[in-house]
Amino acid sequence: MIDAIIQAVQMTLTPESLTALVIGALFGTIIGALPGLGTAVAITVCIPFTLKMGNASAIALLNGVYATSIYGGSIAAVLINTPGTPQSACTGFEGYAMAKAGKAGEALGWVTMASVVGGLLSCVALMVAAPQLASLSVAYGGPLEICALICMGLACITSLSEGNQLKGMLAGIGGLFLATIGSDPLSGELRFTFGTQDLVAGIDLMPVVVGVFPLAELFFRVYEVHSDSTPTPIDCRRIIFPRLKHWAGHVLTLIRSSLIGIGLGILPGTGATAATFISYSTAKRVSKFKDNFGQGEPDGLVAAESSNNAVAGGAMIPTLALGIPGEPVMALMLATLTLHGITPGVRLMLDNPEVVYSCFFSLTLANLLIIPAAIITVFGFGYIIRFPTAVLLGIIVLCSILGVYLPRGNMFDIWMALAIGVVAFGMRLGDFPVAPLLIGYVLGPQFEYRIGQAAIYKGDMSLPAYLMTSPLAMIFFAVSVFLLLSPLVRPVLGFARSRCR
Amino acid sequence: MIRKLFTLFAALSVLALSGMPAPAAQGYPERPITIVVPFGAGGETDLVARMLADNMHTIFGQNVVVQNIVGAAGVTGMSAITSAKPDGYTLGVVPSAPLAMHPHMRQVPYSLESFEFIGRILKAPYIVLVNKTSPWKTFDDMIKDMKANPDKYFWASSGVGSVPYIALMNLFNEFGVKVKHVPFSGDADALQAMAGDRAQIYASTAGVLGKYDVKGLALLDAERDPLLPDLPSIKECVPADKQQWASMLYVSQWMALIGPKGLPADVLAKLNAAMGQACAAPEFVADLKKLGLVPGYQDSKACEAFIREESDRNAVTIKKLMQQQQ
Repeated sequence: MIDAIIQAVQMTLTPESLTALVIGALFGTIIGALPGLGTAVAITVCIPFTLKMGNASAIALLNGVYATSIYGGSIAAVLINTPGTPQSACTGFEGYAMAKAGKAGEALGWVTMASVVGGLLSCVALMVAAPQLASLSVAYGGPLEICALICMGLACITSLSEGNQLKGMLAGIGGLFLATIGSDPLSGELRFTFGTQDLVAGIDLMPVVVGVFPLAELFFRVYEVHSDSTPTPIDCRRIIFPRLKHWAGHVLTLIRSSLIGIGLGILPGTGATAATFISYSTAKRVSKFKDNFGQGEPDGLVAAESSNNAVAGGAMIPTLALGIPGEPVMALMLATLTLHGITPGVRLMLDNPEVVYSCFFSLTLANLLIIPAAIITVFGFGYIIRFPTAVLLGIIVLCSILGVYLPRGNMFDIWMALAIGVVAFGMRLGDFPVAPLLIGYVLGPQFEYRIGQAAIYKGDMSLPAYLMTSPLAMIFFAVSVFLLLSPLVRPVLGFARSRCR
Repeated sequence: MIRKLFTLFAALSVLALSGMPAPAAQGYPERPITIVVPFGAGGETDLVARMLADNMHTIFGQNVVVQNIVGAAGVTGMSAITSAKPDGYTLGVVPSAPLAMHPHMRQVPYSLESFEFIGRILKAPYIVLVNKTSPWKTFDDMIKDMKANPDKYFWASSGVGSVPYIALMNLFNEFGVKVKHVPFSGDADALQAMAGDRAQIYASTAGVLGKYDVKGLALLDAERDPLLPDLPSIKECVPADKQQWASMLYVSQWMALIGPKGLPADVLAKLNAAMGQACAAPEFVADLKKLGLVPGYQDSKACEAFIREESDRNAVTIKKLMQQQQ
């Protein structure tokens, strides 16, 4: 094992690999930070290059791009309120609020440090216990457990739409309905396609994300220009990292959120989105600073960022150890490895342990590289956000359209993104939260497909008997019910308490 | 000023037009060739297309660019190929499903008649897979056990209407065994369920054998694969009195290089030659092997005949399966 580790370090510390890693990290951060562009674009651009590289360099480049592009999305979320990925949405809630209050530098500091620590913790988990965690992924990756987990993610909608539960629920249901367009995951029957070919496979994720965040933000800013309200100027000259003493009170959130990220990364099908929303909602309920959530609370940033970066390491566990990608991006990673003659899967840890360790090692380095990449990118972005509004909005439009078009080269996606952008803008005017729409949309297809499978496995068993087969799922379901009912119960309890007094 | 600009524009357009290639291109290819892939970057089809493009670039000395046009389960990319000008500068690398299966399942805006076939790149027969720890030693064991225990076992597919789905559905039908179907979204999910024993049977190509803890029971082809000499072909597994329907069970994954209908004969001939050379290149063969794929090159004529045969057989199978569901 020690031999393998030394060999892995030698493989990773060559000039070529390090160059690839640094380029990947910078490229990933910048692409992630541009509004509308995200991990999908960054990886798509890199694939052709990796085909020409050596093993270690290709792995390093992909790891660099992957870890940092998730993080980069948060820079845009904080400074321009345009998360580039669904998992940066929660960062937007707290980070943009902080930025509006003139604390953009601090917000980015928290985001950066939380991302790095979350990512590093997941790397540690990966190094220490990859085979054991992978077997957990097989044992607990059944349809019932995943279904229950998704329920929990969906139930988080209640804690994201405080103040207006009804509108939040409606938006979430809207998202679920949007996800039913296309072919039925179980029967293959086509639904709601209105006879067009373009909707046969449903609406892709990117047009929805770009429509809901950057484009809706753009329309809103245009609206602001023409209305009487004065937009709040956002300024950020440099990133301000939190000092050690500021961490007091955030450590628990950090560890809890990282664990949620690792755990959900290991299980197939849920990915970073569910992890981020679950960990943010948990923090919103149990954090010491929970009353400040939504108004620019660093603890919220810590919860969201540490978990979404922890997913990277978590998702790599089943990818390498079993050859089963825990996330769509991991499927691309898998393909690249295969092409380099490395076959991820059950034999990898035995046949090529040095490749596995090199993967871990470069992911760790990539996470550390977030810090310098962040300083450079934020410096550049400080200039961009001071551009005249017209220019800034132009950049947002351009990047958004590119972000939608590049990965799939499909014109229809652009029209879809624009249409969804208009709808999301309307929702903002009507005070509907948009994040629930996205949660519903992202988790909807997985939920439908897993619940259908669960129904097949249930067969003639009675429902309680089937549920008893998985205690873990029962716990998740119970938490979901609690999350869903708590907004109903809390006012009643409060009322009862005031009567008693 | 305006007039000057207009003159400039006119002059430029004349220049641009004179630079365009003549219809029957003598020196084909004179500019970069685009290969459309109807699926996402990093997928199997995409990787094969990129490897082929690379080798064709060496042969032609012209850039060959892969463009992913994704959407509508492949239809968007297929339409992009059919609607391109048939000048040999827009081609496509496509797998079996959108070309020879989807047209029989739903309305699509193209048919086999919309394409010119340049050649087949590879062919990989599907394998009936079970868990490595499974008590079934042979295909016969499995069928016997299934007959004795109807509806006890679960088989996985990578989605209704996918190639493994059609393959196994048809297989179980012909053998008259009752097994419960569980659809998964893609290979990875299905193999994860196999590892957790939530599904007992799946079908995929030889690439998965070394990667996952699964073993093959039968190759869905007429002959054994020389690389897997111990794996019996399905033809051997079918009882002697039922050999006439054995050929209905052959299912394979293949990919072909195609172009829009109406490619000039000389362009087609050049492409045919270049592709044959590219597919025989040792680097290309080695790269395919890394992906767990075996080259299965066929030239333009043989490829067209093969695809038509596949399409006709799929039509019969799919029609039968659809009738059963109703």
